Amino acid sequence: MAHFEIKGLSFCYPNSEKKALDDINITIKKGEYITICGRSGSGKTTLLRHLKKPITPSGKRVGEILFNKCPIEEMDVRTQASAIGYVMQNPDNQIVTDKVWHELAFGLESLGCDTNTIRLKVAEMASYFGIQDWFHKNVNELSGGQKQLLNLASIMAMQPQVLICDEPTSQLDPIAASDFLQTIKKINLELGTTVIMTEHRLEEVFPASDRVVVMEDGKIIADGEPKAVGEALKNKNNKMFAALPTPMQIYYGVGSSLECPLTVREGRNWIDEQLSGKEIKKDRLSEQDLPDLYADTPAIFAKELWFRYSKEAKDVLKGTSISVPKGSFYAIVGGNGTGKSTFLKAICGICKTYSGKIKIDGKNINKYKKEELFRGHLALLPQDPQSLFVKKTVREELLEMAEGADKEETVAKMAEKCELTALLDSHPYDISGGEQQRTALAKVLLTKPDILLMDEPTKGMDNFFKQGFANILKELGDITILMVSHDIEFCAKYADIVSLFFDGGIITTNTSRRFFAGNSFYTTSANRMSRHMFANAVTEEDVIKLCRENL
Amino acid sequence: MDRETAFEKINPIICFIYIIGAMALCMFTMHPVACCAVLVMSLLLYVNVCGRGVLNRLPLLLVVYSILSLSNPLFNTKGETILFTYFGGREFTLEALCYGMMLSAMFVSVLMLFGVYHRLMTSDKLMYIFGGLAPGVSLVLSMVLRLVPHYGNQIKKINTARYIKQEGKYSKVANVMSAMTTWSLESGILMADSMKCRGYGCGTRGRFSIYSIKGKDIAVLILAVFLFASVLICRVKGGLDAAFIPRIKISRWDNIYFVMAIWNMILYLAIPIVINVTEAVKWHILRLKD
Repeated sequence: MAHFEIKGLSFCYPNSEKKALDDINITIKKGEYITICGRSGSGKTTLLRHLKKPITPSGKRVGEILFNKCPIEEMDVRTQASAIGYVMQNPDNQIVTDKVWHELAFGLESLGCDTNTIRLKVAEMASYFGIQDWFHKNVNELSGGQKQLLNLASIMAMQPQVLICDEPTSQLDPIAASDFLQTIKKINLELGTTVIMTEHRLEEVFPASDRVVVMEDGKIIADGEPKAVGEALKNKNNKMFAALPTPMQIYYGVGSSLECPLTVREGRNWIDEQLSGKEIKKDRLSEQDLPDLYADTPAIFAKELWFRYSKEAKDVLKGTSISVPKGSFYAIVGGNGTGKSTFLKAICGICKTYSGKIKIDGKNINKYKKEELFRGHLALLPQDPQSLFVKKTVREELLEMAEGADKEETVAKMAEKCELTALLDSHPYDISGGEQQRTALAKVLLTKPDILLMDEPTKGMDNFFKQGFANILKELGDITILMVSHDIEFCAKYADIVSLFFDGGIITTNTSRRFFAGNSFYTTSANRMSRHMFANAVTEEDVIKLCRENL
Repeated sequence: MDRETAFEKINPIICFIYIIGAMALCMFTMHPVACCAVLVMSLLLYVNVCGRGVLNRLPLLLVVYSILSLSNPLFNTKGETILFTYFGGREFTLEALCYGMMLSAMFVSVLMLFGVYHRLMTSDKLMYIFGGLAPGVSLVLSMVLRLVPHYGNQIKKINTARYIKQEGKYSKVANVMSAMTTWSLESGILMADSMKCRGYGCGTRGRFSIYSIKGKDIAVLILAVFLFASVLICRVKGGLDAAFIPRIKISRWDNIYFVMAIWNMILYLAIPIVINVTEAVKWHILRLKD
């Protein structure tokens, strides 16, 4: 039984000749879990917004969309509000009221339900989603993951038949994201709600989906079961291939006649089978020793930093020390709320520590004047790129930071470096998340820092943007980078030295390869998949290389 | 004090009526005994509801009390008993002093009751009470309460992000304001989308609150109304009459209405204390039984 039928849908935004959607035809069955993936700007969000009448973009449209056999334009407001639920990307902006319980009731209040009905539904939802413990809280006290779960629950309270999620986990840390996706899967399995989702974190969504649709330039280029879609992308040699889950990429990278694995568990079995009966001649890649971090003058040196936000609060940093060698790419990983971001802010003096010593390039931070420190020495790229934007166009944003006689030229060069040339006249809020992050980076780089501090730079970026971002960082040359991140895969691929941050301090430090090979939970999928065979394979390329050599 | 006291769990409407009633009681009479009783009971109530921390504010209240009491005779010189004269013959009378003391006792009691009010009537409770009269307004209020910390947070973020840029104080403020305008418009559009997605504006809004009226609430209401009414009747019957000028003349212990009024006033102000203390005792006993 079809839930949504989209027939020959094409769409152009006003003042644009380019088709944002080009002849889309899909039928979505009741109870299906369907993932739509594609690069940024491929039309995923535009397509999803067409499924919900109040937020359908205006522009030229051809084709029709049927919901339960009824054209979507003819549905009345009340039915569409309750039958189709829509969760958006940013957890913060969707919340309307100040209390958790009020937020849960918001949709039902809009529908004009009576108090007893609302009471029951709210109670049901709070119990189902485990919200009881923070039911009475103010919404601004919640974590990002809790906020997004609240958004989901307040939509589920209206008992929708279809749940549409537009990159719901892009702003969440990996643990919260995984919780959220599991809840979605649970809703799909237990309530039979149809789920239509766009995601860039395919690692988890791919195996959970019944069906995957891949979009490119407003067209559907693949549609089918996850494994079939993987094969189709491989055969077309499509760039989307790089976004597939690690086990699939390794499988196709090695080239195998066995069945394609989707999850780490299947991946482990596949490696076993693939290499069974073969002698493992080589089980490790060459690795470097951790250099002496305190040799020479480190770019950043911090000794036993103590910090708390107010006199009564608990300590956030508890005697944290670090030494970042010049020219290295240093990453700090660790869970949410362990104080990583605070640590970065403490290093550049935004958070004043009450005890401890910080040296930048061998000189005590207190001996620098503020102008001196932030001109040519230190720069901090904040977590939310939007917080850096104050002007109307990207060009003006960059000009604001540029110095010297030839501002225009400096900006043009920087734009070229960060692949922003085509976007210079756009408004910084109109470009995609990855492009915003690159603009923010360009802005920060214009202060010509020797040392770049970055707070979660890859948050909300898809795999291609990450690769591009890493390339920009590589081309910066001998700049020292200290990055705080949740993105294990990114750190494993690009960082030189990695530290684990926990409970206000650095627990362990090692070279990226040794660090991840030594951990058993906090490590990459590629490592988890291959650790029983190979000693220190951390990235997909490592596993593929070792597999090939042993075949 | 983060823990909810027993009286805080009373339905907000009844709580609101109770506090308004208590303030009215305070202003009923200038009778010295009644004023003393009210002052003591308000203090007990204040400490009981808001926690021992408020004892720190006692010196301040004492100062307010003294200034108000002593200043009344300076403005009002009527009265028979002259204590002393100053400024070449201006009289400072006992009657005016007593009147001032009663007046400031009343004032300080009401001040403390406002403290109680502030602690008990949080924004969501007020919204529950007045939301029924104007659902639209109550939604707007709720949104404002949500947006104020939301905006504050963003301003903090922008300030941190701009740490790397050297600029004057004024241009910094201008830049932050400009960034906030863009950001709030953008996030406003998204919030509007989210509201539309959840059916905002598709008909009459229903109303939901987490509060309900229970048996205990009704009991408190009946008791409060009964005590209040009886004090009112006693007042009308002259049980609380007090005149200070030109001569102090107050009703006496042999007046049955006077005794009843005082007792009922004390009882009225003791309702929350009794509820809170009873609960504490019950818990203690329950724990002993284990």
